[in-house]
Amino acid sequence: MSFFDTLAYPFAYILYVLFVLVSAPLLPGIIDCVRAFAAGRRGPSLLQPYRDYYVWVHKHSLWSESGSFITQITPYAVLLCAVLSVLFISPSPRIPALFAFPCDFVFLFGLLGVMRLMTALAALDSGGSLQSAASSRELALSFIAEPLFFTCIMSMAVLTHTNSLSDMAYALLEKGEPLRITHLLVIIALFIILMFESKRVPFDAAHGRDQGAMIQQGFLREYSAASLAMMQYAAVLKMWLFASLIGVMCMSFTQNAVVSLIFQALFPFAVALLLGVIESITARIRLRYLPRLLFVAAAFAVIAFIFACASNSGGGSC
Amino acid sequence: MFTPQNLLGISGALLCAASVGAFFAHKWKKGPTFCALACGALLILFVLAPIVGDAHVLYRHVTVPSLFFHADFSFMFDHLAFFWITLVLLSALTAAASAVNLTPSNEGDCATLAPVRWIFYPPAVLALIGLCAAQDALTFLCAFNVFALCGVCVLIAPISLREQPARIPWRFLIQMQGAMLCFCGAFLLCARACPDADYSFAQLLAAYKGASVMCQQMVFLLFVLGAMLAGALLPFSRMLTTLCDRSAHAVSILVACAGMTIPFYLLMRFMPAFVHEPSFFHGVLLILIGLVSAFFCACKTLMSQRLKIMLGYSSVQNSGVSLCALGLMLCCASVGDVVDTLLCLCGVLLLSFNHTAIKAMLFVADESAERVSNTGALACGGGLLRHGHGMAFGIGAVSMTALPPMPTFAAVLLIFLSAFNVLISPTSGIALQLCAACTVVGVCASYAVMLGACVKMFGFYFLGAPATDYSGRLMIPPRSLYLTLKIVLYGFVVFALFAPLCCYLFPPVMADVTRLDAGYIGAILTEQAFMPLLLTSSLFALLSALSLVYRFVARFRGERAKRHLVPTWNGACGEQNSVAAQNERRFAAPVGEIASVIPVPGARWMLHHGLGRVRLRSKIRRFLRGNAKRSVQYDVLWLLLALLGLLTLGRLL
Repeated sequence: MSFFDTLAYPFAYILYVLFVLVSAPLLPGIIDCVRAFAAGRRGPSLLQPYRDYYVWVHKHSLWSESGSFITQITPYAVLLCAVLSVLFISPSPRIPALFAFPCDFVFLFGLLGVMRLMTALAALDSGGSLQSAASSRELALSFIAEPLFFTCIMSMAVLTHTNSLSDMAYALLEKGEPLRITHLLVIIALFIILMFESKRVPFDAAHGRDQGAMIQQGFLREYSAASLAMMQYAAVLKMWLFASLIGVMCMSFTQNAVVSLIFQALFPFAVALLLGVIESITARIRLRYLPRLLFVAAAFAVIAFIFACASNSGGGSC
Repeated sequence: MFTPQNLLGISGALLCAASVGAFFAHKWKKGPTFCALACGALLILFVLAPIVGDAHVLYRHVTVPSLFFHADFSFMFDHLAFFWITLVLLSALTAAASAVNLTPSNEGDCATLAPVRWIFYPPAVLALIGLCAAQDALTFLCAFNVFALCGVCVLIAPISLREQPARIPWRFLIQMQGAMLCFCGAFLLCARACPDADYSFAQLLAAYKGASVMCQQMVFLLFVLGAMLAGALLPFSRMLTTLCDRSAHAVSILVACAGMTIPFYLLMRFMPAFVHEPSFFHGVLLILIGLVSAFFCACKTLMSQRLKIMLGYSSVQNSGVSLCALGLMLCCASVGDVVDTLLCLCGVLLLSFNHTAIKAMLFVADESAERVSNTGALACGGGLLRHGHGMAFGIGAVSMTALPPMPTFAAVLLIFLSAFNVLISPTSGIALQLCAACTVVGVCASYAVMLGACVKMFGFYFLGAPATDYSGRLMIPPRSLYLTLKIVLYGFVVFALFAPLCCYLFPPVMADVTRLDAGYIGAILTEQAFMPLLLTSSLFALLSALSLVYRFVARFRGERAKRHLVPTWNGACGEQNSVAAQNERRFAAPVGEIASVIPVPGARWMLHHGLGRVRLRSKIRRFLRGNAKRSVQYDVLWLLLALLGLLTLGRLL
């Protein structure tokens, strides 16, 4: 690595992180635009989330009488975890993430778990029925989603012989192989996890304002003003995080650091476009059928893992 | 006639008979009486043993005081024993602090007899320490006997032969004696392989190495069965949870924190034999048992409605994860992967230490909360965080879920690190990779379920609005209990902050287990595990600092900011926030969905029926059990006890 690279890579990484923090709210804006376009109407502006945040931040927070300090600290904890999670993602194979160490994805997974725990506890803290139902459903589905996430990561670890997210990206680049079946299966599984974690259709209607939107809106019912903005922003960062994870799997097409950096920065917008299309053509699935969808993803992940093990033991490239 | 071996055989046979008798006595609804008589007779036997036999030999080998007045104190230099004695002492101190606060609130109508059980606490603790200090099989088994007897006496003493808690003593007795006889059978098989060997662990280890393959398999299986019985792993977990729920907090702390980890101590004590003669099959067996136990006990934790039962099941889940990691360690050892073997072992040791600290804190916090609410049922709790009782419990509950930055996360991270090293290693075979993958997915799934359980137990009991009116029967816990809770909590915080030090403190312990050089182990641990542990503890320090700042700011402001009612979406503020309306909605909320949605094949059936309630409706079974509603595991256990009793008698004769 040259002296220029030594200086340029940290600078590029800082720029990338700032870009993520600033542009992440565009993702729901893009989804809403696509949905409006598909419905043949004029939707909100791409910048509508920024306007919402601006309005919310300038309001005074109201807190439930039955809530404890857990309700109050939850937005800060969730936002902190979301920002820390972003620092685990490598923007380019040549540029490692700030937190890159063996089994860093376990830590990332733990941070996501803390977010889930805090939101679920805060939901119960308020004592409302919708919040309790949202907490219950979130945890019920996470029982499947969490092992599924690990299965996906295991497949990539076996395939790349590395146990760090940054090293995975680098190993994929070094191999220089095109997308294989294993990659595709992992990407499909990760995309389904993304839909669940970001509470999009068909798992949940994050944009809904009625009782039907049971998970995301259930969590947010007790929050207002700056707290609501923090919770929404954390959810958006989480969506960006999973989209970037999928992007890591697809970065092996180029050796150029700048191109891969741009690709990783723009890939989440493509994912948002796809999400918008899916939301336009599908509806939310009934709760009892949601585990089946996650099990489909689990089947993909398990098959990917078997393929990875087979190719690892000399069974050919799958 | 009265040699230690013979006395051991006689006592084992008597205890076997007592267990079987208690089993049938329960059917005749005379269980407590029979248990009390049997245990009293056996205690008299132990007291009289030095008189009727060779006092010098018996004191050295059989009686409890011998462990402290005549025993060889070289165990202090055995790091593995010292480590476990530390755990026992930690839990014993917490149990003692909890026992000091015994009041009629958690003793029911039998409070008048409660002080009687105090007599049996010290021998129980001494027996636990004796178990760890034992350097030979005889001492170990006798200490195990004494622990079981004292445990039964502690359980029987205050019940005044009432029928309500009658199941607890005989379950505890029959399971402990089953475990003891399993260990006894394993030792006897080892000794039979080398007739000249005495019963010291060192010679038994040597005998094991020289034994036939069949004998080695039998010994291992007996050890595992003993660990399942004494460690209350599935399908024998109901004993622990019933005991935790129905007995005083001090008993729960002692048994859940220290008692059920002793079998793991024995497994580790014999690990050199297993590690030097590694068998992949042994590792797979342990992984399977551990995973099944961890996952289904996590589900049981989620489904339970009482706090102490949830804590009991979570202990079993923790034991399952430990057993699973030990299995992965054996698998790694079987392919000569030293680094991952050490990482797994370090993870298990850290998990054991965490378990003791967390469970002690949780049980004391639970006791404090139950003093306030006068109930341990989740459906009757709520809102206790406002009374200042929730923080310790909350920290402990989060630790149970292995989320960062709690030290349990560091332990699980080490296990994951080992599993992923196996997965990415090009030299690992497909079988080893599958074992590692099963470990990763199973441990992850069990902790995902534990996350739901944590939310349920903490959220239902401590958050929200009170489900019942506490004001009419509010009981203020004594100051000593607060002091205990604070000491335990701060001890836990200090331990979490200094978790990276385990890279320097554990190598001697691990050297005892693996017979490798401690310096080499330390170097590997420092290279592989120090940075993740340091990151975890740094985050914990950051969290602690933030909480201190929060408290400082709150105190500086004098009072909390004025709250406003949230205008609800239908505008019904008053109705929305009334306690009755909240409770109605809160408990009508489908928290049960957490379990009902689990679509694992057979999981719902397991949750409703349990592994231990499989009823085989064949005519033979009906003939054996009559019309009594009993479970298969005790039938199997009864047969095993009979076989092992015969084995013991055979050795005797």
